[in-house]
Amino acid sequence: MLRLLVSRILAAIPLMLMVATLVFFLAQLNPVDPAATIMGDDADLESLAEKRAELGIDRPLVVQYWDWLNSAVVGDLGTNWFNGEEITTELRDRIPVTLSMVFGSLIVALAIGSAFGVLAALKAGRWPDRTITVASSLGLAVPNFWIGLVLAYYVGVKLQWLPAIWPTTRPDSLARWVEALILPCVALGISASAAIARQARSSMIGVLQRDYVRTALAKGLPVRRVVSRHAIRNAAIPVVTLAGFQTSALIGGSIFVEFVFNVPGLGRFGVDAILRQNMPALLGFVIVTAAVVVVVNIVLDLSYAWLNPKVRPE
Amino acid sequence: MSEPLLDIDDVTIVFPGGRGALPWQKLPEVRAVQHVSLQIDAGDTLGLVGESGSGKTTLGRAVLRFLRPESGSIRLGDFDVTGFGRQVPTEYRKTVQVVFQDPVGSLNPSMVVGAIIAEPLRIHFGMDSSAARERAGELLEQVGLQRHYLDRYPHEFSGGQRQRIAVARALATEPDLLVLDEPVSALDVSTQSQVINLLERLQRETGAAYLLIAHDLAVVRHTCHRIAVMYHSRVVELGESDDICERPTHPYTELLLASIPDPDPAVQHVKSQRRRELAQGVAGASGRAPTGSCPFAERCPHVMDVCRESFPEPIPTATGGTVWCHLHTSGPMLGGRPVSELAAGSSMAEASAPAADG
Repeated sequence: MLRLLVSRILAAIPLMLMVATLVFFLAQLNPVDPAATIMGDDADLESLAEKRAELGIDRPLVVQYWDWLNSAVVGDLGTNWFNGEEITTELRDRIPVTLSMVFGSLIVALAIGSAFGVLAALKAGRWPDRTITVASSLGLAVPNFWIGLVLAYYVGVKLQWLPAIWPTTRPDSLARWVEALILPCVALGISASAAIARQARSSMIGVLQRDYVRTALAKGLPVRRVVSRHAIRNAAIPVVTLAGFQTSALIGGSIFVEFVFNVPGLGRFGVDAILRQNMPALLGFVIVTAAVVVVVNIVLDLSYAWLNPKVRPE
Repeated sequence: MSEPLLDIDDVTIVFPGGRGALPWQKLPEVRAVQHVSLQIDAGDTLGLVGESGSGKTTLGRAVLRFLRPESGSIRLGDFDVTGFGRQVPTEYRKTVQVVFQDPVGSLNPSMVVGAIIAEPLRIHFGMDSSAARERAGELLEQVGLQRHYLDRYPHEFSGGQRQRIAVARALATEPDLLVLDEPVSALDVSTQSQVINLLERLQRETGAAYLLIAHDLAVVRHTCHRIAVMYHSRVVELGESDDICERPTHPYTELLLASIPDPDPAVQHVKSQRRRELAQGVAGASGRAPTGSCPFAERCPHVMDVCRESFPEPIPTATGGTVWCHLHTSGPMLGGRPVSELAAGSSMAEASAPAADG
């Protein structure tokens, strides 16, 4: 198990390098000149050239990239071209926000999705199953920012149960942090939960028809224990696989939800960096999201091995 | 004669039709088993043979109380199986156990063998984990496996070994009846005989009765004291193994016997010719089982008008078995004698003369 962990972490290093390289060169296709954006419309050519030299973007691309890479490996991601802040400091403020949102919504998705999926499978063909199937179609069809707006309006503004937007000052206690997170997480997690519910339903139905479930019943186990001990663990395997894909989708989806709830997360930061060709910020954003996806997939691989003895390394 | 251990009396099992592809379409119900009565004595083995779709597995599941018969009653020892409510008594689960056909699917892939076998021990005998482990090890040795396999997962074993594990698990509760649902048909031939021999030895050691469900008459004949032949929801012949196999009194049994391949090419040639004569129409029971006629009528070479009008009453055979076939009362009036007598006298044309469409 430890070897699996170490090998997965080592494999992640070239992967992240490749992602950074790809993004750096792809971003050069963006015609926006950051120097012009900083200096404004009425800057003359001379001061623009001066600014470009200051930012270092007048050098060949390969030199620029090599330069960035050299400092990146020692943990220096450069400074933000637009506000002069250290990228690492900016990321440090934003990462916890987005991460807690992504993991929170993953928990929401898994909790709602597997509960309803299992319920639908146990009542297959009857009204709970039909209701859940229709609801999950809706959940898949409705965009998360719309769910976010509806939640913010009804739960946040009308009922005043939870904050409708992220507090302007950094939440000072865990309770306030969680409070602020609930609505964004639900908005983000709903569509993932619909996908998970469908997968959980079909894999649970498959498992319930297996002979080992019949065997467990024949052993004299009560139905509840057959489901909890014999069925759910085996039905969880494809659900875990799906949750891995969903995590990447949640990181992407978090951008929209961050805009709706005004959350100071990575999403806004990344979009902003792309629009203004803010290269150090963009690369920092990409490195962080790639790392999150890699870590999540390592965790899922480990839980996959725990669930399914067949894929355990010898 | 003492009371039989398992008494299946006039059992009919119906599956509801469900819905078709379109919401207003209602599929007709399926009569999987009709008016079947069977008994098994303690320590005895009854073979239930028939092709797929004949209802033999369904009947086995009803004995296990995975489904409830439409009518009729099943009694096992002191348990009135058909009288159970939603909750099947744990004590009954101890009394009857099951071995399924597919040893890959019947063992939970995420549990080690020790846990699979120990689970029933802990439920039914209240053993603590070390006692259950000790007993599980004994059971493994009893089925010819080694004790240290307890900590392995099912996927680390071959098909035959897995089936042995399934048998060990089934024996853990010390059942009075073991339902063996095609226990060897998923195994290769060399392993089949090992598992069959194991089952026979275990029966001598534990005294459990077997309900052996199979489609292979050769396997069943070797193992069983008595055989019931099922065709398309009905039992059509019942008797001692050797009588059924030597002197079949139902045309379907004869067809089944003719389809057992023979290693001698010359014998096999004659056999397959005979089989072609016997089989009419398409192989395999198709469509829905008829309620008011003999289900074999469509394929029977001796079919008469009466076969399409009513299902025959049980008739005792010359060897002490029972047969459900009009040939014994109408037409040639076999009166319990083997069907082969029809072919011996050239009365076959006469016998099937009334058949309107062949």
